[in-house]
Amino acid sequence: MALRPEAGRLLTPPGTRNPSGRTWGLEVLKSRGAGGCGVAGKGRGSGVSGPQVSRFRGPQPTKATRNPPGPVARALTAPPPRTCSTKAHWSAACPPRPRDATRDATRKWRAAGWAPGVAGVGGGGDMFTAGAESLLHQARDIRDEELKKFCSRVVNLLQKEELGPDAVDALQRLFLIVSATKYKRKLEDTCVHLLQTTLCSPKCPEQLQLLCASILREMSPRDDLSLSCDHVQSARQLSLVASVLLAQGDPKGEVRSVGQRVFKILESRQPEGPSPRHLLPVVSKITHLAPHTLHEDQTNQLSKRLVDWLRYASVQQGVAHTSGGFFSTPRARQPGPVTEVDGAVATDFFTVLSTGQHFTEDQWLNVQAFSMLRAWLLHSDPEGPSAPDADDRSELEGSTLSVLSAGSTAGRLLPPRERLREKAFEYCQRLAEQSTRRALRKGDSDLQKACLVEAVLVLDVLCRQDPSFLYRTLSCLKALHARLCGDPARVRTLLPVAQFFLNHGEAAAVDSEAILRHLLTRTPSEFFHSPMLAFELTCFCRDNLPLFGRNLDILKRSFPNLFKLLAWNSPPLTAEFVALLPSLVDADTAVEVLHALLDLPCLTAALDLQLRLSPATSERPLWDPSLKIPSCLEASRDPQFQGLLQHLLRATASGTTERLGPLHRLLQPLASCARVVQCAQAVPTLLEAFFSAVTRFADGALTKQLALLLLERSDSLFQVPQYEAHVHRVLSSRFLALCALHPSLVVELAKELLEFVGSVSGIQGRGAMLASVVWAIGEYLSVSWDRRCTVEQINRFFEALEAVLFEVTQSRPSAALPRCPPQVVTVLMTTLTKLASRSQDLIPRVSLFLSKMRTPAQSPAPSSTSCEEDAGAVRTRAAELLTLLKMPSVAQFVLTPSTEVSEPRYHRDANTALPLALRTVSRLVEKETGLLPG
Amino acid sequence: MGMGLAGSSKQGVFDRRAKAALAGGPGVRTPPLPTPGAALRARGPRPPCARHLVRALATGVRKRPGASQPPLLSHCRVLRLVSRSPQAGKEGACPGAMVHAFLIHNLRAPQAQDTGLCRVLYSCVFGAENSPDDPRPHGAERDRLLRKEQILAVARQVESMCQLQQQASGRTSVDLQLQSSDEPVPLHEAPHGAFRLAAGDPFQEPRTVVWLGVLSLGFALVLDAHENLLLAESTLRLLARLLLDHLRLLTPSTNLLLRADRIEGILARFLPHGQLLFLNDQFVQGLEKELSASWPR
Repeated sequence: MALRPEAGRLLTPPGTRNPSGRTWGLEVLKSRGAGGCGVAGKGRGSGVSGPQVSRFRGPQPTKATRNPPGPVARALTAPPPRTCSTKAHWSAACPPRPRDATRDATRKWRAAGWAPGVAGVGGGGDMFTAGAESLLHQARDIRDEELKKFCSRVVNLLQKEELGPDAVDALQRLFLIVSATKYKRKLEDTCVHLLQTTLCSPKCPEQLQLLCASILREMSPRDDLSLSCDHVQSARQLSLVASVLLAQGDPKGEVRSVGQRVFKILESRQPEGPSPRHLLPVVSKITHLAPHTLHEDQTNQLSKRLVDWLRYASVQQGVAHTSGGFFSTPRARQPGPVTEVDGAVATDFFTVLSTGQHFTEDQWLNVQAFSMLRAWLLHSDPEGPSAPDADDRSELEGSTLSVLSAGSTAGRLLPPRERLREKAFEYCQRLAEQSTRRALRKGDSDLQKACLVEAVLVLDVLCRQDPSFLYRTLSCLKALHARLCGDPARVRTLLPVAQFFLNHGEAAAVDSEAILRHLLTRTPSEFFHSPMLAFELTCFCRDNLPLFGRNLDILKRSFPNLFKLLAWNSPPLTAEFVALLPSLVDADTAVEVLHALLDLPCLTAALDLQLRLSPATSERPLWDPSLKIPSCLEASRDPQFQGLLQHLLRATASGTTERLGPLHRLLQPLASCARVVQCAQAVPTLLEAFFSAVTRFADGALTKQLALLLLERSDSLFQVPQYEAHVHRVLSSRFLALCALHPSLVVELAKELLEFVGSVSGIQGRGAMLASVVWAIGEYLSVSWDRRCTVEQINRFFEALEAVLFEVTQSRPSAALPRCPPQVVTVLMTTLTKLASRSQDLIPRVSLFLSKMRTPAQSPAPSSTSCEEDAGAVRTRAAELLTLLKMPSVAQFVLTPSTEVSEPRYHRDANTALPLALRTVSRLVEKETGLLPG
Repeated sequence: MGMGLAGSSKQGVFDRRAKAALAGGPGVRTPPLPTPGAALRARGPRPPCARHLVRALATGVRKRPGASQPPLLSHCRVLRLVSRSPQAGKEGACPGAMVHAFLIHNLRAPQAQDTGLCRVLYSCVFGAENSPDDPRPHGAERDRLLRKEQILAVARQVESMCQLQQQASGRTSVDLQLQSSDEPVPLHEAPHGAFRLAAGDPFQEPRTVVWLGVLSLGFALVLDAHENLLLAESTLRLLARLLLDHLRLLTPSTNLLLRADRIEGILARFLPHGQLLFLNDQFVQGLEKELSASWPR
């Protein structure tokens, strides 16, 4: 087992280490033990307890469960392996004692120090977790008084002349203690103060500064911080101090003060002064957090310097440094020119894609400058989103004017902002040129892609800010697009290019149609399996919806392709598609989209099959290799399936639908694969989004089509575990909603509905759907909703439903079949009663039936209590309905209320009021049910 | 179940991850992931999940207390911290292109949901989310609590996403973990992905999360919505590699919890103040040398 690298070795070379270096922890423990923290060990089992538990535990420490010592605890208590003298020293110095507070605390601290010993125990998957888990617990369980002592220890260490490994070790622990809980840790004021002074102290080593800064940042926001960056000289130190101050959330204007200080240093321009390299990211962050803190002249000044760094960095390589600094060196000793990524000597100015063995300071600044360029351009643009407030503007305009006039007197120099744009443009063009080179290293080839994306994004910003760049940019981007189309490795860079043409196509009189068509029809079918591309492309579509304009049709027509992204990557993309769906659906595509959504899990399976059939593109399979489907692969070559597969995997909307039943059977072996199951779980959400969108514009004809589709598809779904039940729940509620929107649907679809209820063979799976269809019949099959409704129609429905009810209640072919859900039975009874109340000749028939239902079932005695409850509910409903039917006029009033019922008058007027009628009815019903047996 | 459009996006697959992130703070035992679709079967009021909690913290929505609430929630629920800024969610509201936060957390194996918890092992928030239009006074303590909860919410979502992706590609994390620690981890084959966080959930502004799962560690960058994702992705890979190398995370004896200085040292060089850097191979090597000089391995 390897050892934890001793903290001491970080700063002092091995061998010169103070032999007492590691013993401070022990002293702390001793002092803590002597301090009599008797409760420290109590209730501190290895059971899981979080910060809140430890925080709120206070008076009831014994509540925490104490598990028997597991491997972790055993490892803690066991003497450490004697592979290291310091360890031996530790265990010798801390002999096992009877169980007491000190020992418990010792164990805790030893674990904190020797977590490696713990971490090794779990092995494999628990490799990190076991050690981390126990350390986190220990850090959280530390009580205030223990922490107080520890703080005083830290204070002592930080006050020493020489800050050694002890201090590092202590601060590492302090960081863990502060960061491990989300609640405030009370640190001694002196300790916090010392952390700040140490951070600002000029001779403090970097490691300690980083720790001080991270502890202070972890505690932030804090009200009592006295940290200030006014006197910090070193750039690196200032950067750290700034990180603490910027984490405060700007209650006291910290951001502004940091900004001013950073600019003061940047302005000083002393050749031997602090390097701006560490300060540029601070500037970037400040402009991001508080865009208005910089003055116009400061902005201009930085723009000027950015031009220098971007465009005029040295093209000679830097000299090797052993000290790690990168300050300017005598040019005479420079080892040669910088090279391109393919090894050729650089042909033009230095960019982030220029390489060499060593770099000069201005080359580092070039990297920094380009990294912050886009944000800076957006910030320094007065028309941009960061435009200052109106009162500041006059002042700013004044200074802009003065800059302009100064520029013109100084000999036709462009003002800094425009000059920066000009140089940024040149830089991006150079990057585009450099990205055609064949990189020697993998990292550089990745960087080329990222640079290309950034270059296009910067060009986009430039053209938005100054349209005069547009014509120069267009030729470059057209060439780039042509090049990228043939390069599958750089497919992701197509997105910013398409974005550019969407943004500027109109202004440049270039039709973005072809570009979008290529992007949306080819890319998803080829790269749906790349999670990042799928995410980016979906976001691209979603974010640019307002920009698509007349090209929106291309987007709509390519929904089958976009659904491939969704089908393969459903977890991260479901939310995006919920937002995107309303724009994809219109009256023409609605039916096809609904089919596609219902077939989404089948599409996932088909894509899986497609990948398995296509030649391997990567060394690792993109599908689940544990699932073997030889029969599927074999059968998919059948021409019958080929046509269906091609339809399912089509790139654009076809306007037709195919029955995919055979395909469902073919792909059945893939239905249990996790990706298909995940996709199936997303479908109900997407269906809800679809229907919310479609009901906004659907007319009668479309609604009828959709309702028919729901009936038809409810029994032809891909058989994924749980999928049918979840989809039925959505479809049934949406069917009712469609009927509520267009009540005449029931009359218009009478034939189909009769067919549907007539085919109840698969009632088990379709209970929810049947219930809502039957309910809709009862609600809307009435002259009051549609004049075309006839008595014959009502009678026909009555007979069909009566047969269904008989079938599900009286004749059960085998006891093994699941019972019909009581909801369906009660809905059937209610609907029959409703129909009878409208065609009163039927009343005797339904009354007879209901009275049969009221008596306890003759069929095999219900075995479980839930069955009994179900039967009870059915009987109660039968009794209620029977009572109602005794007074046909009341029954009609209650069961077929006129539309007026929803008017307010109906509820206010005491004489005609519905409440009155309801009270009467409920009295009647209650009286009758009270007489019921059981 | 509230099936409005906004709420519905939390259904289905999302329920899994919401449920995985169930119930409050890092110390509360997470219940096992429901079997597929269990969430949809459950019709009763769902217990408050961390997503909702964080949203409640961030938007001031008061959530109905659930029956099985740990004491922490009652404490948190009364907090109403930040109102969602009116600009939140608008396109291009923030010009910046920076990283908001970096975090490392543990990844549990999908089949071992009931062992341990999703823990944030290290996190660094660059700057603070500013909320200038929120008139309510903030307690510093509550701001910090919110920040921590936000990071935890991200960690849980990354964990769920990673588990779902692993399951979908038929890879159990076991076969990854069996690798010898001497071999370099093939980071380009490690599970990775990205997802979006809508404005107000849990951050004020919309964010994109890019994540990478290496063995049992998850690394994630929380980005502004319009960041260069290719650069972010390669930066995340670079950071993961550096952390694995320089902290020797793959040898069983190391623990990153007590080595914040090294992590900070790496971040200060390769992701200063959350600024993504265009570093070519030679620049990376230069910075690595500088790093090794400060922290001899």
